[in-house]
Formats: sequence, C-alpha cells, structure tokens
Amino acid sequence: MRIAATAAAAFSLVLALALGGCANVKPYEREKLADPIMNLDNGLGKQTLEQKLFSTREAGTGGGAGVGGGCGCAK
Amino acid sequence: MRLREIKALPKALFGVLALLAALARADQIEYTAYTFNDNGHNHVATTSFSLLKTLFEKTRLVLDIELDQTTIPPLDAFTGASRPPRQSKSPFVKNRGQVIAGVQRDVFANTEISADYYFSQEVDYQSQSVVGTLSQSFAEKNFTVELTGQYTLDSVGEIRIDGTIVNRGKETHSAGLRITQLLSPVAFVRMGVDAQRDHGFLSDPYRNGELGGDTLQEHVPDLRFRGAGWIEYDRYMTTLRGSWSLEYRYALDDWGLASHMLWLKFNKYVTPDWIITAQYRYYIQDGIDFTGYSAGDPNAFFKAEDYKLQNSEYNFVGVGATCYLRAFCRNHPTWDFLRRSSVALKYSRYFNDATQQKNFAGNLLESRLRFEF
Repeated sequence: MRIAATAAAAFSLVLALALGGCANVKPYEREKLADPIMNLDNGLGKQTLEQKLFSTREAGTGGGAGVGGGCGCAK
Repeated sequence: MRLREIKALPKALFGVLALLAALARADQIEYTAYTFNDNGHNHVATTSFSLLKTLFEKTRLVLDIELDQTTIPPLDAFTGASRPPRQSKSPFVKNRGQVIAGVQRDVFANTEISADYYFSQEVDYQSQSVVGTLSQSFAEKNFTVELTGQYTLDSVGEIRIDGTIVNRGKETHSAGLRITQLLSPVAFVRMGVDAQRDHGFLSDPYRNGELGGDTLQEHVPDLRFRGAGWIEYDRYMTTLRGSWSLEYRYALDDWGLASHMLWLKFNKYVTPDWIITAQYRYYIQDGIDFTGYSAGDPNAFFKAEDYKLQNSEYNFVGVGATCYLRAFCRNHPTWDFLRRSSVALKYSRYFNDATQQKNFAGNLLESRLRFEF
C-alpha cells in the first residue's frame, strides 16, 4: 500500500509539473508535432504483436483497458 | 513457375492490394505480417488486415481482422512448453482468428466517443470484449483527457489426454485514464493510470506444480487486482530531422508483483521519404510468492518453472525502416494517390539475462503495408 501511495504521489507531482510549465501551442504551430515521425506506431490495430509478446513473458505487462482480451497464445 | 513470373508476383500482389484499398474507399487500410521464433522452437505466424473508413460526416468505422498460427514443439523436459499433453510427441499446431469492429464519433468539436467489440477464437480458448472510450480536448486541443472502460469474458479451455475439452470461465474489468499535454511546438507528454480486476480461472491449464509430493495442475488464486502508472515524453529534433520518445511504466498487483519498464525509441529521416527507427526496452519484475497472499488460500501455489511469476528481466531491441511511396510517385503521376502510403519492415530481438534464469531469446519480424488516402 505504501508503494501505491508513493507511486500516486510521484504521478501527481509529475502531472502538476507537466501541466504547470507548459505553453499554449497554437494549431498553426503544430506542423512538427503532426509529422509522421512523431508517431510511427500509430497503426490501426488495437494491439501489436510486440505487446502480445511482452505479455507472454511478463506478469506486470498488459492490464488496463483498450487492448484486446486474453488469448491462449499469451499463455 | 518461371523466373519472369516470380518477378512479376510482387507487382501483381501490390496492384491487387492497392485496388482493394481504392475499391473500399477507405481512409486507411493496413496489411501486416509478423513471424516470431524463439529458442524453444515455438513459432507464430500472423497476418492482419485493418481498415478505417468514414461512414458519415463525423462517424468512422474501424475493422481489424487477424489470423495467426502457433506451432509448439513436442513436449520435453527442456522447453516445458504450455500445450496439451495429447499426442505429445508431435508438434501442436493451432490457429486463431480475431475480429475487432468499432465505431468512432465526434460528438462535439472537442469530444470523441468510441466503442469496440473484440472476438478471438481458437481451439482451446475464446475471448469476447467490449470497450468504450471518451476523449475530451481542452484549450485548443493542447490538453486531452481520455477515459476507457473494458469488460472481457474468456473461456479457458483444456484439451485433455482423451481429446475432450473442458472450459472454465474468466472475466476481466479494466479501466484507464490517459492525458496528453502539448509542451511546445516540438514536444508533448502523455501519462496515465490503468486498473484491472481479473476473476475466475487464472491458471494455465497445461502447467503443473508440485504439492506435498504430488503433481497437480497449477492453481493460482481466482482473484487479482492490478494497477499501473506510466509517463511518456516525445520530442521532435529539428536539426537532426528526427524524433525520440522515452516511456516509463510502473505496475503492481495484490499478488505481490511489482515491475518497472523503460522504453526508448528513436526515429530519423535519412531522406525525405525514408525513416529509420531504433528502439530499446528494458523490463524487470519481482517474483510472486503466494505464501503471503492476503486471501490465505491454503491450496494456492505456483509451479517454480512458471517464468511469468518469477524474478525476471527482459531486453527488447529493434531496428526498422519505413518508406513512403511518394518516393515512387514523382515519376509516375498516375500513382499519386499513394503519396501518403508507406511500407515498413522491422526486426526485433527479445531476450532475458541467461545467467539468472532459463535462457530465452526470440526474433520478431514485422512487415507492413499501409494505404492512407
């Protein structure tokens, strides 16, 4: 439980720092942010084989919502 | 087949795929093929097809179909492969089919909702899932919050020695919160938290353990809560014409497992149409010991050979190249509709520290053809 509290505190601190120190980027300033090189993995598939591969060996990977459900190959 | 015909085959295949994409009038179509091999002689071959199509002005359809074939070698003491004991002297080959169908809709100027249905079927496993997501942007889309909820119902099958299949149920509730904040015209940060509750048959039906001198089927607790927090920083490098990103993830659960993950990615234009990529990922986890499990289930135990529940660390390195087809459109104006489409090839190696645990190494090869209009 102490680990969870520490993680939550660290996350909140990072969140506060990130949101407090950022500039307001205008839409016409986002050319580089929209460049494909900023998100090459943005495929249509919900879960890449890389992620499936990690979940076959790592008990701490996976979890959370937004990815495919379990499959036998993950065993 | 004569050599001339063999040389013409890739051109014909590409033409057919491009034609299919054009006929579907999709916004984006993607074909991906993966092959994976590891040093335990396990082999996975996967083909997937994804489509994004605008149905009405503000509604988009997402369809993802995936087929894969897994080959697990004959059972032996070395691999301890997870597979049915039936016909144990022959490789176990099984096919899996997966479909994801979903819709995305812009509700207001800065609000998007999406719903997906997932279905996966193989001879000894079936999974169904529904996912809902709400995304809301603020401050001229400088700040975005995304909430996701998911419910999954699995049927975990066990093929017994006489060929009969016994199915057991498992259900999963998941939720995630993700925020994205633009930091400057060249950088943004993403962070989030995930939570998951698994309930039901969480063991591997093909894995056995020792208890009191007897060999019994693996038996882990039937309830598990998991949580994770992660943060990712992405930055465009103007002078190098490249980008890099760094992600850290911390996860823990009530079985006593804690893990850290660090993932560094680097991308660079080598010409205006070619991008090379490199990545390195490091993962480390503490093992699980059910003797301290709070539910105190006297029958709960795990097999020591279950690598997923032991202390472990893994490395993942990868390189790749992406080519935009506009490189070939300049001299062929009729192919101009392909200018945003791309071909990518990636090779990755995933391996552990052989000095601390049973040696594992696997190679992953990915090829992708993406049509974007």
